[in-house]
Amino acid sequence: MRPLDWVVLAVSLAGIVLYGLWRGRGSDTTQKYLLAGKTMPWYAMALSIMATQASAITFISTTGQSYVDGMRFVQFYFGLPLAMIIIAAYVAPRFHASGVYTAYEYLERRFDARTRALVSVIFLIQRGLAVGVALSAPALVLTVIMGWPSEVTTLLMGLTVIGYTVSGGIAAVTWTDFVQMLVMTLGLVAALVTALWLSPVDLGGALQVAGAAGRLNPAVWTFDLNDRYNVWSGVIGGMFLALAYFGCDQSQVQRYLTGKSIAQAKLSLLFNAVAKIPMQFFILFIGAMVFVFFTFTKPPVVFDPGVQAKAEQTAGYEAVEREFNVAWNARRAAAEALPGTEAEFKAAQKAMDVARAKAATLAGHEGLNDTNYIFLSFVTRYMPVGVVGLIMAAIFAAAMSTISAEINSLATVSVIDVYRRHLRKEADDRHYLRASRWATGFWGMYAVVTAQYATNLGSLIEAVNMLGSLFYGGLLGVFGLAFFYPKVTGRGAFYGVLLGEAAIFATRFGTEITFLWFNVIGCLVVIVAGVMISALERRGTAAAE
Amino acid sequence: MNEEQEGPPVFGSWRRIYWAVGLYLVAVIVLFSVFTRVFNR
Repeated sequence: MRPLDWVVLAVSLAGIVLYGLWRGRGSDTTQKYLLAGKTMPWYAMALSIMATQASAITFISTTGQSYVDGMRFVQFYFGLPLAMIIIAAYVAPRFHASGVYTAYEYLERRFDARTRALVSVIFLIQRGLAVGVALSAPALVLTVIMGWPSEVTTLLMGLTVIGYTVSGGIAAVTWTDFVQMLVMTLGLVAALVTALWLSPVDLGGALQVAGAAGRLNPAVWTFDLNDRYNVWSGVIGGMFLALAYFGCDQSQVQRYLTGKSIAQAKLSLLFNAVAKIPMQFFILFIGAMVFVFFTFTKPPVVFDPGVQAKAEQTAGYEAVEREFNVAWNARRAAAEALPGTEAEFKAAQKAMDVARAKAATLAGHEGLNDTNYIFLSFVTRYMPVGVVGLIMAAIFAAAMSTISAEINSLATVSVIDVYRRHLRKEADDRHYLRASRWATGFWGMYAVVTAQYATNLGSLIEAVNMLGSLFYGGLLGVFGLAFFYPKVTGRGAFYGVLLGEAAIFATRFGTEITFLWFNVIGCLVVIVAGVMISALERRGTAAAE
Repeated sequence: MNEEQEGPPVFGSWRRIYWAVGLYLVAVIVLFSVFTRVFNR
């Protein structure tokens, strides 16, 4: 990073934080602090929803995923528009009309306090685990770029977010998300333009190279339960995951609960239904173009600088590097001769992958996973001055928008569903406002601490999605019961969730079925079990009478 | 107007917007399939 990059980064971040503090002023009641007084316009909520989902992981890991695996990850979002339609039509109006602070508060009105408590705890565990991962990703950036210890970087990032989130509540979070999304969009455009500009081939040539490498595969129709990304798992599994995330996860529900009307909330959801897939396509396309760039410019054997440095210290590294260089030269020659040399290109690519795996083994890492370092390596080594700072600002903006929404929602559930419901039922509004601020600060610090343990989870985006999928099926099932099965009782819902979670964990640890299907399985088990238990309960009651 | 019945700014009704979003998804999947077939080797 050169001085201009630092200036761009510092000005962007300072501007975002100050804007958040300014927008969050006047949050002097619990309702204003947690729901922004229900005054938000659709465009602020729309970009806030998008920014909350687009974390730093989206930038760092998704681009890397496209580099190594192609664009098929975009299919993961195919179910999102369908989920948004269902949420806009059935979920958002009910939440909005019921005047709840949290999605889980609605469950007590529909079922009982026990079901609300169980689902709130599931959310706190699941989101609490994910918030550390969300914070560790940008910390990884700073550790790689500046060599700062990750403890320092997570603390710095965390304190910045805690500052404006504690101070201004959800109004600060939503409006900073809005600006952060604009910064992210600028950063994405800059990254794509620069990647294309730095490549020695034009767009047609770049598409030919990326296609020869099998990186341009946004639609794969092969049906396979064990394959993570294809059209079927994307539409069905992705829809269930999106339903759970946008319809049952407080970090997203809270965004559209702040809307000034139901129509505004619906519009914010439907904007995401339309905009999300093109945005992910765009990000993945950047990864494919980085692949093209490294077809003509020699990449490091291993992108993770730590693993690379360790490998270089070993006796066998020189031979592996020679092997890698021969394969890379063969791949470049094949790329320059395209079309007609696809087989040679693929053979050379395979030889490069073998050499990379050998280097990782030399460094003591069985199974190479440097996905998270690819985009960063490209940005810091090859991007022009100023653009590096802008992309770093975009990565930070992405991280901050996700973390602020997560700690804000964790605090809301802690105060509304646990503290106010079970621990301190009668207190004045100022007390709960103070409690909300303290809870926000607590969850922020918790995120900082857990982030220390999250850096070794492999591809971070998959880790987050995998974690979510262990719990989302249960959440989705119980909300499905609440909205669409009026005869289901509190007992049916409670035990249904427990059985659904048991089914998900059995699937995760007992089969090879990929995580996108966990939501489908968990949700269906909750619904079937909930309906059956309720029917038995009704029959028992009728017999007793 | 009842808040629940507040209409969308375009297409006249929410139902039409939902259909439009559904058709958009179909178009995106078709487009991506064509993209994969044309460019991916």
